[in-house]
Formats: sequence, structure tokens, C-alpha cells
Amino acid sequence: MPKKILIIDDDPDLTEVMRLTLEGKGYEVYSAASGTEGLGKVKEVHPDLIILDVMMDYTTEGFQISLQLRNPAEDSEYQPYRDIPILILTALHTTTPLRFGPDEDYLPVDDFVEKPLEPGALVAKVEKLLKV
Amino acid sequence: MEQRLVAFSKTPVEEELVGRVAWQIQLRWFAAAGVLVAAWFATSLLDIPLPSGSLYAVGLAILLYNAAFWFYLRQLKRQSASEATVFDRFAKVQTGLDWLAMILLVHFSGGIESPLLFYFFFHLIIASILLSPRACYVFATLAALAVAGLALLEHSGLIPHVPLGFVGPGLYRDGLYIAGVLFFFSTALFIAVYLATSVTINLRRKDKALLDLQRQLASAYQRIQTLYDITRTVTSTLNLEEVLSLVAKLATDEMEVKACSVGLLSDDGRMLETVSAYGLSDGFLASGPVEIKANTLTRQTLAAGQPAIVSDVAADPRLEEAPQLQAEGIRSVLCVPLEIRGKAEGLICVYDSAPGRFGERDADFLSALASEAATAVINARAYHALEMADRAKSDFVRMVTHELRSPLAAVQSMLKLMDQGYVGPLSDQQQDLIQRSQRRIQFLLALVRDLLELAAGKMEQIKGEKKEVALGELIRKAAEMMQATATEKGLDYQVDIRDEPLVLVGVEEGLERAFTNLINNAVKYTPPGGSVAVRAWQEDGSIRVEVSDTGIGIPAEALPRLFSEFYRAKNAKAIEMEGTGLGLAIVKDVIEQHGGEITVQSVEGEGSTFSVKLPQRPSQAVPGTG
Repeated sequence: MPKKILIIDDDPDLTEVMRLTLEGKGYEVYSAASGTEGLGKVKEVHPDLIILDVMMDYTTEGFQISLQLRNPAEDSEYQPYRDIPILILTALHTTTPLRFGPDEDYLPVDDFVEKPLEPGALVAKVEKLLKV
Repeated sequence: MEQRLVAFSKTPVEEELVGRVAWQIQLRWFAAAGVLVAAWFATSLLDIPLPSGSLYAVGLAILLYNAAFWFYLRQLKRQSASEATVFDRFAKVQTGLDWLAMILLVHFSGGIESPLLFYFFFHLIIASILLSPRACYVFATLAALAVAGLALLEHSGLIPHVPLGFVGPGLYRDGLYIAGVLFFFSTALFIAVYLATSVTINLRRKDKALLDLQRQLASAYQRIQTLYDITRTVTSTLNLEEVLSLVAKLATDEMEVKACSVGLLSDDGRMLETVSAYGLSDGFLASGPVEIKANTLTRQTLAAGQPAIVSDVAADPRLEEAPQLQAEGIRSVLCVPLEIRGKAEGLICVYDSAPGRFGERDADFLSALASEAATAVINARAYHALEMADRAKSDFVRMVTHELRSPLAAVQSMLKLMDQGYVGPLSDQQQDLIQRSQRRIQFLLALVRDLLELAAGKMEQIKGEKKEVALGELIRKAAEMMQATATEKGLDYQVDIRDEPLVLVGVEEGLERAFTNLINNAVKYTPPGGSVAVRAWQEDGSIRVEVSDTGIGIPAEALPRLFSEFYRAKNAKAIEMEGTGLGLAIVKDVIEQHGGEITVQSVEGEGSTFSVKLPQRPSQAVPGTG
């Protein structure tokens, strides 16, 4: 059974690039164009990996989704999804005043992919996270 | 008159009185010695039949009481007595005793016939210097009466007459002679007192004027100093609150008043808000902004643009808030408008507990303070506006850059997808076109990245955290990154980082980018076989870095614009088409933000040397980090 990957990004072109890349490698790709839609899809699809854009409607939307998924409250409906690996999609650090770091508490994600996308690098990171 | 003058001052005049008393005591030593010598001379050498014993006795008495005076004066000085009346009384006692001694000497040297009579005049002159004119007249009268009394007593034979021997005998019995001497002696005394005292009165008046002037000068100097302090603060800080607090405090201290407040008009001009106060209670200040309409004094002062003085808070109809002021213990108020560009935009008021405290000079001084405060307000407002404009600009650039990046990144991603065959095979021609497109997009992305960095660099909050940076290590790493390229090009690549602490406080990322840029440039623009040298060392408390190459050099006409944004020299374009022209602008920006400077020396075709000078971290350099 192919692994399921959910892409949450408001840029349809980039989403398409990732879809083509990953489908070419045999993954089942789902996409959502907003944070809210993305969270809905998480419950619906229960993906094996989430690719998340940092900046969507507002600067920190991606961060908030990752926090919601990773550190859900005791009684949260997202409890079953807390172990799904998250790959963050970002422009260079300098795009936002926010800073990244390996600090789990600060930004609980597993890895970063930089824009513009390097298809090979994306595939490599996805494979690493899915332990293929 | 003299007493009032002296009592009113502590220093110069009184010191003078002490000095004069001391001088009188000093003179008296000579006078006493003179008496003894003269007595001996007259009786022994000239053989004048005077009662030498009595004369010596008087001379010794003078010596004795002078010693007492000398001792007493020393006591006074030691106690640093400052009571003017003490010295005044002391001077009178001395003069009185001198008078007694004089009368005795006159008596023992011929009474009315004695030539010693003339000595009363210099005594009177000394007295006029030491004593008030009235006291001088009293002493002159005493002298005249004493001499007259002596003459009468000797004339009547009630006391013995000492004959001089060389003047006609019985002269002291001659009524006409006595009357003549007494008349001329007395008139001469009074005329002498009149002349001497009128001179000293004049002198003392000038003394007093001088003293007043000195005081005024000291006070004016103090006020200028205060103004200077404020001016200095105004020019050295953009912190409005700090300046206005200082204004309030200095006004209170300098004018020796109870309190001071500085108020500024609200944006709509309807309220006056106290922005700074000194000496006022929290309760009083808690009443909040004052409505201009409801406050006559504030309204009138702002409208007239002139100082307003309230002599009695209780009786002034312009003060609606009189009860609050009275509760604060305030009786007098002085308010001056704070004029900004010719328009009254605030008030500085000083308050005092004494009624009728303020006059025109106070108003002048406070107005001068107000104009300094106004400058501070103007500066702070201008700076705030600039800051806002700068922030808006940076935000705009950041937003635009992000908007530019997103589509570019998407296009680039799609091109890569095609280029790498994820969507099927391409013909050679297609592949070539896609690669060309990628290169152009690559350039645009680099441009956008540099623009963003420049904008970010100019925006302080993005600059990142300032911390101690081991610059030597940082440059070594930057140089290592280019090692491979340099070797590939066959360059002689020298890196010489001195083993000494090259530490400064700064933003690591910015510095890293700056030095990477410089070294990259040197390697990039040096043809194969050339050499590149990177050196860093410490000199005169600064960190010096030099990146030199034997590359293409910089044309002379390009040098002045080298660090400008978007500028690229022609020969650089020939080597690499796709530079953004922002690299050196970023380098310069980073270096300058760290308080350093960058200079360049170059000859086209021969090479370039970029020299950077950065301030070493002040003191306690951490050893071993360089």
C-alpha cells in the first residue's frame, strides 16, 4: 500500500510541483490550500507525512498548525496524529523575522525544505522521514 | 549704614573689615614703639623736661592693650567669627583706647601747646576707614571736647601743666591762644572727618555695587550653566521624557521654587497633558489632563504666547483649579508657553509656596528653558516620524520581496521538475531553453534575496542578536569555504589570521556574510595563476582585516560608486553577467553598523585591496578566542 502524504500549502503551483514529484515516486498525495482545510484532511486521510508551508494566510499559520498537531491538549481530537512526521516548507530564514532552530519546543517539526524546491532534495527528505 | 552692608554679606566686605582691624593692630605696634623712642629722644637727647616716666608708661600701656587686641583677634579668627557687629564693636573699642592714650600723651607733652595734637588727624583717618561716618563724628567731637577740657583744666591749674621748655612760658594760660588752637583744631578735625568719610562712603557704595554685580553674575552664570546642561541633554538624547524631566528638575532647583511641570497639548489641541513634573504630589498629578476650554490661565497663556504670572493663587480669577493648587501649598505660579515653530504647543509652569514670588527675570529664564524644551520636542517628534517612515519602508520592502519571491520560487521549482525529468523526457533544445530560463530566474532570486537582506540590515529588529563574535574564527571559516574554488583556479591563496583575540560584539550572520562576500569577490575576480590574501590582525585597539588580490582591479571611475546599491563595474560584468550589484553595499552596511569602516585601494588590471577596520570589543577581551 502506498504511503500517504498531505501537502498543506496555499501556492497551487508549488503544490503541483510537489504532487508531480512525489506521485512520480509512487506516493499517494493529498493537498489542502489552507490550514483549516489541512487539519480537516489530517483527520480524513490520516497521512503518513505532512508537508507544511510556513507562511500562508498569515506569517505564523504553519507554525501554529504544527504546534496543534505536535503538542495537542490532553482531550484534543488531534491526539491520534501527534506522531505524524512534519516537513516544513520555507523560504530563506530572512523572509520572516521568525527564526528556526532544532529546538523541539520552539518549532516541533522534523525537517525543512527550502524554496525554490529541488525535487531530488524533497524526495530524499521525504524518504528519510518515512524511513523508506 | 556700614553695619547693614556688612551684615548683608558674608564674604568680601566682612573679610575686608577683619583685614582692616588687623592692619590697625599692626600699625599700633609701630605707634607704641614710636612713642617710646620719641619719649627717649625728647627727654634724653633734646633734654626737653618732659615726664619721661609717664610717657614710657603710656607707650607700654599701648603695647599692652595692643597685645590684648592681637590675641583677641586671633581668637576671633580661630572661631571663624562671622558676626560683623563683633568686629565693628572691636574697632570702636580700639579707637576709644587710642583716644585715651592720645589725650594722655598730649597732656604729658605740653597740653594745648603739644605738637602731638596733629596726630589726631591720622587717627581720624584710620577711624573713617574702620568705622561708620557717624562714629567718626562722635570721635572727632570727643577729641575736640577732650582737648578743650584738658586745656581748661591746665589753664585753671586743676591739673598740672607740663611745660615744653622751648615755647614761650605761659602760653597755655593765654585765653586767646587756647581759643585759637581749639577753634582751628576742632574745625580741622570736622573737615578732615567730612573729607575722609565722604571718600570712604563712596568707596563703600562701590564695594556694595560690586558685590551686587558679583552676585548677579554668579546667578547669571548658574542659569547659563543650567541652560547649557539642558542644551547638552537636548542634543545628546532623543528621549523626550528624559529631557523634559531634566528641564523640570533644573527649573525647580535653579529658580529655588517648590515645583515645576511641563505640559503638552494633545493632538486635537483640546487638552493639556502633564508629561513631566518635579516637586508635585502624586495626588495632584493624578487629576489628569486639563481641558483648555475650562482653564482660563492656560487658555490665555497659550493664546497670547506670553508668560503669565500669578502672584496670589487665592485671589486670581484666572485659576479655576485654585483649590487644588492651594491644597498643594502653592501660592504663586509662573507659566510660559512652549513654542514649537511659532505656535504655543505646551506650557512650562513653576510653582512656589510664597505669594508674589515671580518677576520678569524669572519669566525670562523660564522662557529660555522653554525654548530648549521646545527643541527637544521638535527633535523627538522628527525622530519618531523618521523611525516610523523607516519602519514602513522596510516593512514594504519585506512584503514586496516576499511577493516577488513566491512566484519566482514556484517557477524555478517547476523548471527544475522538468529539467530533472520528473515529467517525461525533453529534447535537447527544450532542455537548453529550460536551463537558460533557470539561470535567469536564479539571478532574479539572488537579486530579491540581496534586496531583502539590505532592507533587513537597515531594519534593526531583524538584524539578529548581538553577541560576542570571534572574528578571527569567522573569517578563517569564510576563507576555508573558498579554498576549493581558489585551488581549482590555481590561485596562490594565503590566509593569515593572527593568533590574538579578535573579538567584537556584533551580529554573527551579518559579519559572516560580509566577509564571505569580500573573499568570494577576490577569488571570483582574480584570473587563474593570480593570488588572493586574507589577513586579520589587531592594531591600536582595532581589528583590521585585509582582503587583497591580483585580480582585474577596479576602474578609477568606478571607485567612488563601488559601494552603492545596484552598482557594478564594467569589467566585473564582463566576468560574471549575473551579479546583483548589492554585495558590496551589504558589506559596507554591515561594517558600518558595527561601528567600523571599509576602504578600498585598487588599480585596474593589477588588483584590489579591501581594508576593514572594526572596533575591538571594549576591555576584558577573552583570550584564546581569536
